Amino acid sequence: MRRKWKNELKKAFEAPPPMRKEKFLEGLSSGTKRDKAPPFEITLAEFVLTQAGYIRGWVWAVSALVFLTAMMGAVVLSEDMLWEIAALTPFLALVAVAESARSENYGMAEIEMATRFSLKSVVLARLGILGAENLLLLCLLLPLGMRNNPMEPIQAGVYMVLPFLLTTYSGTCIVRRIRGREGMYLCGVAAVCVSFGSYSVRQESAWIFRADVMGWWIVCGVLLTAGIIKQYAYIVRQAREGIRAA
Amino acid sequence: MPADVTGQYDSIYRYCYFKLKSRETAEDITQETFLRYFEHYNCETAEQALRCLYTIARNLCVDEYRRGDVLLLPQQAWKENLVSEMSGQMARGVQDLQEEQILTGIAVRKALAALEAEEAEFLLLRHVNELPVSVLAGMFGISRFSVRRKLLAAAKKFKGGLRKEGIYETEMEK
Repeated sequence: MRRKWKNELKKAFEAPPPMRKEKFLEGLSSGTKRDKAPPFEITLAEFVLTQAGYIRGWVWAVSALVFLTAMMGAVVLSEDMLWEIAALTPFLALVAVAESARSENYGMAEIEMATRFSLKSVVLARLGILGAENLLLLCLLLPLGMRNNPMEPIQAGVYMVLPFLLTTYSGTCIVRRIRGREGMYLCGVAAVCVSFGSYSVRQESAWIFRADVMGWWIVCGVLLTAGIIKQYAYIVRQAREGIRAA
Repeated sequence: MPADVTGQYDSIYRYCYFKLKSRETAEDITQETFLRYFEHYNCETAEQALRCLYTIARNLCVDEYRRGDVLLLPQQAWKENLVSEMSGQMARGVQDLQEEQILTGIAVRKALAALEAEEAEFLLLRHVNELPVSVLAGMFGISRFSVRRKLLAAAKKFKGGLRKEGIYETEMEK
C-alpha cells in the first residue's frame, strides 16, 4: 500500500492521546507496578508463619494463662492439678474454635475468598498452627498434671484431653450451624458446661475414673477425634465453596 | 525493561481504542496487557513479544465485551467512531486544514466504514501498527497465506471504496 494511503489510514485510526501513559511507564520503571512487585510464590513455611502473625494475641494469652496456672498449682503449691488442668482445657478448645471461625464471625469470609490466598488455605494454616500449639501445650501440661498424681501417663492424658476434645467437637458443630456471635456465645456456654461438668463429675462420681473403665474413655476419645476431623473437614469445605450447610 | 514498552504502548492503545471506542477502557486494557505480559511471559524475540502483547490485548477486549461493559458491537463501535471523527475533522478543518485534505480524510473514513470490522482490524494491525504477517498469523491462529489473502482482500475493498469516492483514481493519475 502506498505511503500516502498508509498515512491516511493512520489518521483515520488515530486514537485520542493516552492520559496515563507517562505515569504508567514511570511506575513500571520505579517498581510500583505489579511486574516489579515481589513474586507471588512463597514457601509453605513462610505462608504458615505469615498466618501465625494474624492469630490474635488473646489466643496465645489464654494458652499462657492455662500453663501458668498449672505451673503455679503443681510446682509452687504442690497440689494435684490434673483435674483442674482438665477443667481448663475446654477454654483452649474454645479459643481455637473461635479463631477458626473468625472470618465468618466478622462477616469477612466472602472478601477473604477473593484474596491472594484462598480462605481454605488460611483456615487450614490457622487450624494447623492452633492444633500444633494445643498439642504442644497439652504435652507440657501432662507432666504437670501427673506431678502430684499417681495415675499412669496414658490414663492422665486421656482424662486431660477428653474435655478438650468434647468442647472442640461441640464448638465446631455449633459454629458450623449458627452464624456469627450467637454461635460463639453458645460455644462459650458449651466450654463452661464441659469445664464445670468434668470437674464436678470427678467430685461426685469418682468411680467412672477407675482403671477398669478406662477402655470406654479411650473409645470416647477416638469417637470425638473422628467427629472433630469430620467437622473440620466440613468447615474447610465450606471455606472452599463459600457455602454454609443448613 | 523486558520489551520496548514505550514503543508499543501507543500501538496497543490504538488497537484497544479501535476495538472498544472508549478512551478510559482502552487505556485500562492497554496497561493490563503490559502488566500481564510482564507477569507471565518472558519472550526471547521481539516477534514473540508482539504476538503475546496483541493476543493478550485482543483477549482482554473480548472479555470486556463479554462483561457487557462495552455496549456496542465492534463493527458498530468503530463505524460510529469513524462518523464522529469525520464530523470532528470537518469542524477542525474549517480552521486549520486545507479543503483537499479534509475531503481525502472523509473519503478514507467512508471507505473504511464500508469494510467489515475484521478487515479494518487487519488493515490497522498491518499497515498502521505495522505488525509482521507472521505475528498476525500467530495472533489469529491462521496461516500466513490466509493473512495475506485477507490483507489483499481488505486492501482491495478499501481501494474500491476510495475509487467510489473518486479519490484513489485521481491520486493514481497524479
